[in-house]
Amino acid sequence: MTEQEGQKKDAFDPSSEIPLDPKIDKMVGDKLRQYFDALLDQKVPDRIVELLTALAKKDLELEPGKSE
Amino acid sequence: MKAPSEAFTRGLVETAPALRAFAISIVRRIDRADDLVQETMLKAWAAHASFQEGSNLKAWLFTILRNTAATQFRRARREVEDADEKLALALSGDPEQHAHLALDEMKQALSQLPEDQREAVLLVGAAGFSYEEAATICSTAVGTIKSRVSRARASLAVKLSLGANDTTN
Repeated sequence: MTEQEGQKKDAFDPSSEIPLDPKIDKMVGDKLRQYFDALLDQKVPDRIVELLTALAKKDLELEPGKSE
Repeated sequence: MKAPSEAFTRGLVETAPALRAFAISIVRRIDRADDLVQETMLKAWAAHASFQEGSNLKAWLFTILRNTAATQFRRARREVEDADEKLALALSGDPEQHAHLALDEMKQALSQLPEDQREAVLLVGAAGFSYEEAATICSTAVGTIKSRVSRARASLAVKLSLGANDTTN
């Protein structure tokens, strides 16, 4: 593919955008963020916290003076 | 081997909840999402030398997670059937019934979107990435992401009964 063809491919085609009433669009956005925020508020499982703790510890083992 | 910077390690910790929220949304199984986040953390730590300090760590981590998920999707596509039930169980601890119903509604609506639209609308509409960042994460053109997000939002409006006509199929 030539550079020109690549740029053409990358260009946003407005016809592929589906117009949505701004009020409805905002409602969709609000609901989507509400959903994602609820997932964000969930406690990260212990096994992931333990992994991160282990990685941080390994980090210090590699460079002992780092925490001082 | 040189250790990652403190900022890098701190970034891993701070991004974990967002990575997990995105993982749950795209794989729709809590146990698999947690596996995915763990694998992402390990890969990121192992590859920290290739991360350019000062660039977007969150986007870099999401890219690793998304690529890892794509590999896993190919391996486990058949196991998706019971996903919605397991996610509903995981979210059932929500004390506010009304909020829970709203989440359940969005979860169902998202599950009906094509995979590429779902990840695009989650990255841009929920996780806070720009179109350009989402395009980098998904290894596609910015215009493609804009189109996917637009179609996903229109489709969600219909599925959530917000008064739009479904023109996405």
